[in-house]
Amino acid sequence: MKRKREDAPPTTASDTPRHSRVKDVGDAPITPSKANGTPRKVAFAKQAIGKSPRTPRAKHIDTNDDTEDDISRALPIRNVRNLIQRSIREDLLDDEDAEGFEQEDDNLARRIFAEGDDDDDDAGSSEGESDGGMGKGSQATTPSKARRGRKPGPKPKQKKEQSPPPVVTIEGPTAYFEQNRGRPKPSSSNATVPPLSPKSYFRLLESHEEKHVPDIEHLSSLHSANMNQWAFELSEGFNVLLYGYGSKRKLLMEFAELEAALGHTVVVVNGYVGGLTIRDIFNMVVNAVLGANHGMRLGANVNDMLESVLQLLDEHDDGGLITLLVHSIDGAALRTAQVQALLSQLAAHKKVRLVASSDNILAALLWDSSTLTLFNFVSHDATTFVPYDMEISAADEAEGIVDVISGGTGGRSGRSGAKGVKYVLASLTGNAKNLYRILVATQLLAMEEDGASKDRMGVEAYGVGYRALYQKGLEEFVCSSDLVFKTLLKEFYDHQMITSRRDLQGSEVMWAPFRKEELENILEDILLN
Amino acid sequence: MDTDNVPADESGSLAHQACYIYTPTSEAVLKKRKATSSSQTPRSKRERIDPTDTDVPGAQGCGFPTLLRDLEDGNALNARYQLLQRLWGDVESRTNDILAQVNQETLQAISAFIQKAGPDVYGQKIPTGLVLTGPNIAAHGALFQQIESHIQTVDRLGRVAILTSKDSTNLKNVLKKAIKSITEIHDGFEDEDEIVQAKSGRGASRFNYDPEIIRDWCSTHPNAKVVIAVQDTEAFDPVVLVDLITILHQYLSKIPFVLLLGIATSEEIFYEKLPYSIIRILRGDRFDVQPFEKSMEQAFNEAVLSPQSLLKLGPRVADLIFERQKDYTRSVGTFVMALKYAYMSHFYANALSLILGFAHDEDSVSKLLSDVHCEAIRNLPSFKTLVDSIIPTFPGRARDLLTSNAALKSAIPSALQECQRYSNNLAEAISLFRKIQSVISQQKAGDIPAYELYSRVLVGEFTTRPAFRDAMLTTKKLSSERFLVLLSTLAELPSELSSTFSATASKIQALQSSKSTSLISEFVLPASHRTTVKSNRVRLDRLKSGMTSQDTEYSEIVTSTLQTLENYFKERFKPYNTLFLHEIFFYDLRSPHSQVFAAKPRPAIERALSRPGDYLGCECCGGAGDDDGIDGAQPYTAILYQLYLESPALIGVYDLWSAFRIVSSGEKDDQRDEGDSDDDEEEEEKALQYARPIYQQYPPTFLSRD
Repeated sequence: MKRKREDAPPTTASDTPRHSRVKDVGDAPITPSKANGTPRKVAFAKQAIGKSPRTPRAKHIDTNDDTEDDISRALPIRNVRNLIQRSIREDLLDDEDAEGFEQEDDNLARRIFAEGDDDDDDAGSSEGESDGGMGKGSQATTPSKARRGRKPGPKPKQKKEQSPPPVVTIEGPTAYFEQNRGRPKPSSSNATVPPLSPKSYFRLLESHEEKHVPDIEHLSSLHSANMNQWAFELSEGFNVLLYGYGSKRKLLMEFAELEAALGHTVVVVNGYVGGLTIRDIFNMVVNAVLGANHGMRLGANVNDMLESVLQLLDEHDDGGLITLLVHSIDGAALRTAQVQALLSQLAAHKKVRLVASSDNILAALLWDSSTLTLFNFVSHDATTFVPYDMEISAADEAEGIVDVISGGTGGRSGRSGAKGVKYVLASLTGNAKNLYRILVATQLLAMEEDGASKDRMGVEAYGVGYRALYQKGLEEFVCSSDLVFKTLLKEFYDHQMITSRRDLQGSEVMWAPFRKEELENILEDILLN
Repeated sequence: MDTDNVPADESGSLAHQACYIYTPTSEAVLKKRKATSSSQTPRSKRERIDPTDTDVPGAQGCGFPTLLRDLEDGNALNARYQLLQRLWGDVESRTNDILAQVNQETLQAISAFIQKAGPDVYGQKIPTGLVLTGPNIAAHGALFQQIESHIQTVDRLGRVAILTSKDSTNLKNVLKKAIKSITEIHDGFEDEDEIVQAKSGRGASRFNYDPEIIRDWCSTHPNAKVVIAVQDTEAFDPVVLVDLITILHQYLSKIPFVLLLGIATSEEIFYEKLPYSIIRILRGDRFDVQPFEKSMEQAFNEAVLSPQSLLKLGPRVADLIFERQKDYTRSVGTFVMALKYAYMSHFYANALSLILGFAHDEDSVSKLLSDVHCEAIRNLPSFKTLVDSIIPTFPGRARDLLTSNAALKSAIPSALQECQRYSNNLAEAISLFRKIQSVISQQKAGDIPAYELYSRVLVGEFTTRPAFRDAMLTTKKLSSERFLVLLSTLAELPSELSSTFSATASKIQALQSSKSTSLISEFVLPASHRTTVKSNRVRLDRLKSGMTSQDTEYSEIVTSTLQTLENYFKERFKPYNTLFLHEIFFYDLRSPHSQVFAAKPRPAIERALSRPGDYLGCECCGGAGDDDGIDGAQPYTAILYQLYLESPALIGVYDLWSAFRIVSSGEKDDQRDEGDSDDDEEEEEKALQYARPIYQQYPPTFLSRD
C-alpha cells in the first residue's frame, strides 16, 4: 500500500512527457509499459495519453523538471536498471518522434534498414550484458549512449531533427518480441564511476587549476564597478539583492570593505552555515550597536527579540548605520517563512541596510508580497562563475559529494537523514524506538552476513518482511495489533526513515535507507538511551 | 583563484562562522582612515561647498559617480545630488500626505461602529465589522496598525488585539496572544499601576489563556471596548476561528467584545467558510477600504501629474510600472518606490539632469553648465530635431546653437518653460478628460484611470483612438440635463476653457427655462425601429420638424462645445518627444526598472550556463560552435549543464560522467584506450572537475537528490 502511494506520482511524472511523444509518433505503436512488465504503469500510460500533448518547447522544460524528481528515484540500486532502460527507451522514442515529424510517409524500407542498424548495436551490447548481472559490464553500451548524447550537438531538440539517427520502428507482431526482448542494461553500476573520497577531493581542489581565470576576474571587476551604485541605492532606503550563477561571497566581502570604509558597521551573516539561527543575527546586530559585552536580555521569543532589537535601534541614536551582509539569504538555515519575515522586518528599519546574495534559482518563492514589500529589494545580476566552494565546504556535506559521485545512492543519508533520525527517535515513544531498533538490528544482521562494507547502503536485499517485523514486534510487546503496528510505521515513513517495497511474492519488505555505518550509529544511539 | 578563496587564515575560519561583525583587514583599515579623514564631517560639509574641492562628501559618500567621462566638475555633481534630495523629498512628502489620508474614511467609520457597538444595539450577537481590505496583503498589516492606533490612542475606545494567521495554530495560542495584547501596558492609555495590580492580584492564579483575565481588566476599565481584530481571516484556521467566536460569544455578557474581520477576497467566500450557527451569532456592518485604483490615481496625480513634480515619467517606463502594478503588486507603496527609483537613476546617471534645477533658478544655468554639458546637450536627439526644424527658417540661429555655447545656454530656460507648460497642460487636459468620463459613463467599466491614460497620451495620437472617440460621441448624445451637469463640472476645473463652459451652461439654462420639456438635440433622436432606409429618413424628418427653435439652438451649442473640446484635446495630447530637452524632463528608460524590480534568476542562471561566453566574453566559449557539439573549453559546470539539457528525463550517473569526460578532455582523448590508466592523477583530476559542479549545482539550482 504504502509503496504504491510513494512511487506512483513520480512514475506519472516521468511518463507524461514520454507519452506525449508517443502520441506524436502515431503510427508506431510502441507501448513502453509492456516492456516494463508492470501492469500498473499501463494504467498511468493511458492516463497520460489522455492529457493534452505539449509543445516541444514546454516538453523541453518539463523534462528538466522531471529530472529533478526522477533522478532521485535512482536511489535504490535495483531500480537503477529500470531507470536506465527507461531513459534509453526515451532516447529511442525521441528519435522516432523526430522521424515522425519529418518523414511520416517515408518509405518503410529505410526504416527497416535503420532498424537493422540499431538492432545490431543493441544486440551486440545486450549479449555482453544480459547475463552479466546488474553490477557489471555495462560499460560497453554506455559510451555508445554517451556518444549519441554528444554527437547530436548542443541543441538537442533541433539537432535531432536535423539528422535523425537510426530509428527503431517495428510494426506488427514482431513488435511484441522486439519489446519483450531482454533489454540491454546500458548503464553502469557505481563501480564504474571513479570513487572520490572527501580527502582526495580537497587535496585535488588545492592543486586544481581553474579555467577562464582572467575572464572571471574581468567579470567580477565589472561587478565591482557597480558597487558605488549599490551603496547609493542602500543610502536611498532600498536593499540590494544579488542573483546569478556563481559564488558571490568574494564580491560581497569586497563590498563589505567599501561599506566599512563609509563608516558603517558591517554584520556578516553566512546563510550557508548550517547552525545559523535568526537569534544569532539579532544578537550580532545588538552587539554591533552596543558592543560585545552589553549584557542586555533580548527575550526568549524570537518575536520579542525582534521587537527589542528594533526598539534598541530606535533609541540608540549615534547616527551609525548597520549594514547587514547576508551571504545566501536562501541558505538552508534561513529557508523558512518565519525567518524571512523576521529578517524583512529587521531590514525595513531605516538604520539597517541589507545586502544579500541568493543562489537558488527559486529563491524568489521564499517571499510573499508583504515580506517583499518590507525587504524593498532592488536586484542585480551578479553572475560570477566563481565555484561555490565556501558555501558547501562544511565537512559533513562532503559526505554528500561521495553520495553524488557514487551514483546518488544515499539520498537521505549524511545530510538530514541519519542525523535527523536521532532527533525523530528522541521525540517518539519507547515502543516506536524499540520497533526501529528491531528493524535496524535485523537489517544490520543481514548486512553483516552478506559481508557488506561500511559504506554499503541499506537496500531491499537486507530488508525485513512486513509479517516478520510485525511478529518480532509482537514478541517484544512493542505492538499489540496490526493497527498499532501501522501507526508506528507511519511515523517512520513520514520522516523517510524507512522505505518499503513489495517483493516478487507480493509481500512487503521494509528497510532503513541508510549506510551501514550510519545504521550502526543509530542502533548505538537507541541502545544507549 | 581558488587558493585565494580558501585561505587558511582568519578570514577562512570566519567563512564558517554563522555571523560576525566585519573588521576591515589591515589594508582596508588604511583605506578607511583615508576615507574617513576626507569625509569626516559629511553632513555639515555638504551645506557649505568649497568650489575647489572636487571630493564632495555628500554625493560621493552615496556613491554618485563623476559622469561625462570624468569631466563633470564637483559642483555639478554635488548640485545633481542635492537636486535629487530636494525634488524627491518634495514629492515624497506630498505623496505621504496622500497615503496617510487614504484610509481616514474607513478608520472613522470603524471607530464610529465600535463606539456604538453594545448590547442595546446588537443584543446577544457579537458586534462584527467585516473589513474588506482588498487583495494587497502587504497593506493589510499597515491598515490594522492604523486601526489599532486610531482606536487605542486617537479615539480611546478600548483595546485592540490584532490576530494573524500565524497565531492561529491553536486556540490556546490565539487566546494567549489576544490576552497579552489587551492587558499589556501601553503608554498613555491608563494608569500603569492599576493594571499591574489587577494583573498580579486575581489574575495570578489563572492560566495565561483564560478569558477571565480580560474580564478582570474590564472591571478596572469600565467603558473600554475589547476589539479582537483578525487580520487575515482567509488564512486563519477555520476551526480555531469558530472556537474563538464561540468563546467570545459566551463571554459577551461579561466583556464588551467587538470583532473585526479582515477579508481580502469577498464576503461570500467568508460566509462559506463558517458554519451557519456561527454566522448567526454575528451582527454588524461591512467597511470597504478605498479601492486600489482610486488611491493609486490619487497618488499618481500628486506624484507625477502635479505641476510641482518636475520630473515626469516617460510612456514606456510608466507602462512598465503600471503593468507590474496591475498584474502583480497592486500597492501604492511599490509605485512610490518605483517612482523613487526613476528619480534616483535619472539623477545618478544623467549628467544633464542638472538642468531640472534651473526651472526656478535661471541664473545658475551659465554658472553650472560647463562646456562638456553643452556638448552633451548637442548629442541629444531632441537637439537634433530642434536644429532640423529651425534650419529652414532661421539658419543663423541654428548655426549659433551648434557653435556657440552661450547661445545654447540661452535657449535652455525657454525650453524648460516649454516643457513645463506642456506637462501642465497635459495634466489639466487629463483631469478634464477624466471628469468627462466620470460624468458620461454610468458604469465605470470603460473608464481609463489617469495613470493609464497618461502613457497613452504621451505617445500621441490618443485623439484618434476608439476610447477617445467613444467618449466624444457619448458626450454628444447626452440629455440636456446631464449635459448641463457635465458643463458645470467642467467649469469648476481650473482650465482656460472654464469661462467658455460656464457661459455655455448659462445659455443652455436660458433655453431650458423658455421651454417646458427638456431640450433635445438632433443627436439624441430615439433609435429607429423602422426597417427601410426611406421610412427611417421620413421618420427622422418628422422628428426633426417637431423640434423647436430652442432645440435647434441647443443642438448648435452642443456641436460647438464638442468642437471646442476636441480641439482642446488635440492641441494638448501631442506626443512629448517633439519637445526640446524632453530627455531631461521625461525619464523613460525601461532597462533598470525591468531588471531591478523583477529579477530574473532563472534566465540569468540558464544563460550563464548554456552560453557562458555571454558573460565571460572569451573567444572559446562563444556560441559560435553550434554544430560541433559542446565545447570542452567552457567551464565545467556549463558543460555538465548542457549535457544535462541534452539528456532525457533520467540520467545515468555513469553516462553523464563518461560523456563529461569525453567532452571536457577534448577530441584527442576520445580515442584513448579505456585500459590506459597510467595517469591516475589525471583521472582523479577529471573526477574532481566532474564532482565539483555536480555537487555545487545541488544547492543552488537543478539537481535534486531526494
